[in-house]
Amino acid sequence: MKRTTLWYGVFGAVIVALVITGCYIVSGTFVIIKKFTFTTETGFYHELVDVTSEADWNNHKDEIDDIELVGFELWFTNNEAFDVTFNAYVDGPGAPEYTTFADVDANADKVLDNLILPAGPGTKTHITYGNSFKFIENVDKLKKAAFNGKFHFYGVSSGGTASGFVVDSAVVVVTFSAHGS
Amino acid sequence: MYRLLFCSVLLLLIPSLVLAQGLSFGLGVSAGLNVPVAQQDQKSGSTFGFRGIVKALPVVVLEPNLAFSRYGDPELDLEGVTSDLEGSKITSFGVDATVGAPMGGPGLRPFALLGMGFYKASRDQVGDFEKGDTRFGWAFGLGSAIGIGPRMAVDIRGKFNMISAEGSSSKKSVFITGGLNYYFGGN
Repeated sequence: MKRTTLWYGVFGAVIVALVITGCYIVSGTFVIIKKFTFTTETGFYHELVDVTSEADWNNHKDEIDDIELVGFELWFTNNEAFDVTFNAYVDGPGAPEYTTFADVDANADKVLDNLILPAGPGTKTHITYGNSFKFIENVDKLKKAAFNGKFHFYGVSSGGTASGFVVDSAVVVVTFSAHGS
Repeated sequence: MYRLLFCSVLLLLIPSLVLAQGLSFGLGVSAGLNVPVAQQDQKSGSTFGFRGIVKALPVVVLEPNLAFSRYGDPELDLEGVTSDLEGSKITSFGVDATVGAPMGGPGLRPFALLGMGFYKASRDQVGDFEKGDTRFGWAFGLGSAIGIGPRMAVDIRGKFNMISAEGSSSKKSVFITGGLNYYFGGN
């Protein structure tokens, strides 16, 4: 009985040591969802995505260890006579806001590649959060951009005349891990 | 580094302890819930696993174990947004040491456990975001064996897992399982 008690003591001490030495006990994974509509629309779209005012981000902004996931949910309407291809790019918050596709292509990182959006009067396409990962590339650059809580998000459509195509709205979902203080 | 250290200790420790004590071992199988702790991107899922049971010291039993777990699909809290992200799958292997429950015998035999192991998380849906890296982790918990014969016991336990992640973060979950143990050799 005494020996068993001793071993319980050893186990307890090890667990307490793990807790006291901060072996990853106080930490968590948080999900932030931000809905937005683009500020410009005619084949070239821009939004300065900003999640820094969200409560979870604010509470943990100095303790963020990793951006685990960044995904998107997008709604499109393509009234054109032809399919439209949509690509998206990101750049850090310190970069200037580009106003031409040439500048975006030269300086920003493409993160959504070749979404083909079918055409027709009133044709709507919805890319869900889970499905968006099929189109995401340059994951490390996207994570790096999102680590600031703020990043430039550009959308570029090609095909058709652009006047009959619109990105109705968009959602970015950022999942991050942070430790406690 | 951790993996090398862990395997080395395991290889050195288990055979010598088994030989020193005389062969006394068992096998167990268990299944139950996998409950995420402080992870908004996961929901409760399931776990299923196997374990070897080796008497190491009179009151300490070592349990090499292998578990296949998965989390449930998380829900996004925004109207109109689709919750179609899958939960992660976790494959883990490691060794737990339990103290308090002798191998076999009748009655209720509560025990405490302390363990360590390697955990591989993957979520195919998200591509390069979750590449299936293997991480080191700790575990501790409480349980009880309930003898249902000289060589068989029902095993109920709760096991808190802390898996290292980027920086100072961790992924935490609780396995709540029930299972059966069968013992060979002497007690």
